[in-house]
Amino acid sequence: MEKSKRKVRLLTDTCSLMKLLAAGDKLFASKALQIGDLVVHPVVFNETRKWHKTKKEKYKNELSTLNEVKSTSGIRVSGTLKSINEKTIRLTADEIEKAIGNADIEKISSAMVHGMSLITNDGPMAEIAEILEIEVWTAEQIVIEALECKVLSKSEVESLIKLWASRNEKAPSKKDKGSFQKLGIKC
Amino acid sequence: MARPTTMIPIQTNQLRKALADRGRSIASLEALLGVSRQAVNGWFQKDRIPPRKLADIARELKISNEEFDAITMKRSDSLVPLFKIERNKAAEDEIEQKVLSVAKDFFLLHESTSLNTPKGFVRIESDDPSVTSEYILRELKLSREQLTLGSVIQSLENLDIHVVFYDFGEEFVNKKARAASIRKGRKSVIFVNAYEAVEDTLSRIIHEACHIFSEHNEHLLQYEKFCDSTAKQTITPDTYFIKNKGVLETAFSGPIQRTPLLVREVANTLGAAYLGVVLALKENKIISKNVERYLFAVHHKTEKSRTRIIDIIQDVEEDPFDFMIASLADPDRRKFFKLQTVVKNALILDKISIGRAAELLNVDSATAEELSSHWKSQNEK
Repeated sequence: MEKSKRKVRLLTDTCSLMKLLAAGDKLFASKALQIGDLVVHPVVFNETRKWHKTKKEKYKNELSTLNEVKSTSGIRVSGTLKSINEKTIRLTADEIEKAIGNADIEKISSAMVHGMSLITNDGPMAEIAEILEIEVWTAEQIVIEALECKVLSKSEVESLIKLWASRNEKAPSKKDKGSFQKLGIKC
Repeated sequence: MARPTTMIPIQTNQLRKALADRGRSIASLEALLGVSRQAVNGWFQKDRIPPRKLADIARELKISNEEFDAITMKRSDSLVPLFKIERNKAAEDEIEQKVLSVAKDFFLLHESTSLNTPKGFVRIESDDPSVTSEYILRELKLSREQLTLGSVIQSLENLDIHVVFYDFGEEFVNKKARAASIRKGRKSVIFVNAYEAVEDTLSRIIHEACHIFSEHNEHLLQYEKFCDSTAKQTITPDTYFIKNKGVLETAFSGPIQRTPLLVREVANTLGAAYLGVVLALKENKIISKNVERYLFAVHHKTEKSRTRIIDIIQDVEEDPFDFMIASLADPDRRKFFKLQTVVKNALILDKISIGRAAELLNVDSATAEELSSHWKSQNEK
């Protein structure tokens, strides 16, 4: 899908969020990125609060940065629109024989109503969102964009990728690996 | 090459009606959605529409929930859950919906990730609980002596009847909904409330298996009573108590403080719960009123300290990632983790979103993501 210009991008999973927060708060500054700002869905904020103490310790620095980043208020959908969007998302998931969670449905619904893009590294969720004509980005694509618009330096990106690997974070997709390699970055 | 557009089925006559009710034509959708006439005509010819376009139409034309339901076809294979509820109250809608959504995902994921070819079972047509109990044991290919939680779960699985232990949340506990069974074709799922005590579980499963083998398709009080009696006759059969009446009467006429231990011995022999044995002793007139009162009092006193399923399938102290990996690899615990195993397979095959996996595994989504990566890399190896 061709990515459109300047669209707010909604972070929908803690995996992508932690990957991006590992770079500090640079990526979250207003207008730091050319294509669109990053915002965090309130549900994702709540999820990190429920983490086990070992996970909170592992991501201590990221959680501290997250406290500085605001979640987007007024993003949640209600009323008939909410239930019709939910039904549409469920029907879409059924059609492609994928199971999707209530929290994921809420995040996709928010993106549909507010015309946002999504950032997720979750394959089934990305597939459902794309069918619903929502642009989907991975955390790696955001980092590449940050490198291209000089928000992050090459050495910062390299150390970020090393950090992800050392933490056993989900490996970048083949496509994203290829994009990094084109920029001379090993991963 | 462009990917074919995914479309969802609709009742075009219902969409036409919704448009007409608003004084709109089919052609007006072209301008409304910014699509070609050819595309719109295609939807109406094929009875299918891209889901986002349907959501946009619903939003723009302020279509109601009822109209939307009429436009989107209801699937004919709707699932009906039968509940075992305390005092035979009807299950609350909220609980029913929760069980149904897990069942729907279970069937979907199981069908798309499992390769087993089940044998199926013969429908039981009897109104005698003792006879039905014999039929069930025959179908399970088990003798009474072989009845354990593990053997029953395995035998049911061979018949494509899957036992799932699941934490449906606090509201499930308060409503005392103990178990449920849902059939889809020849495949069934028995849900057991994770807040049930482990020792009561076998009885709940046999009760639900009775519904399934008897092909009950609605929640009737008479069915509930029948399956209760069948479970009782399967686990604590009158024949056992009649045959051993003399020995048991002598044993239970000894010091009253020893009687709970004796009950536990009988329970272990039969694979039954403490309370089930007490009730059988009472009904077969083996114990005096005094002993009966004492045994019930001991039950009430110890009831809350019994091991529950939730104590096995969740550990709040251990890191959830480590706990889930260890549990699914442990043959002794595997029988309690059927749903989690199905979710694991679905994660490996990308059939489930991380959020839904997190909900079903009862972990946070970061842990579900970690588990997904771990299982995928293990699978690749």
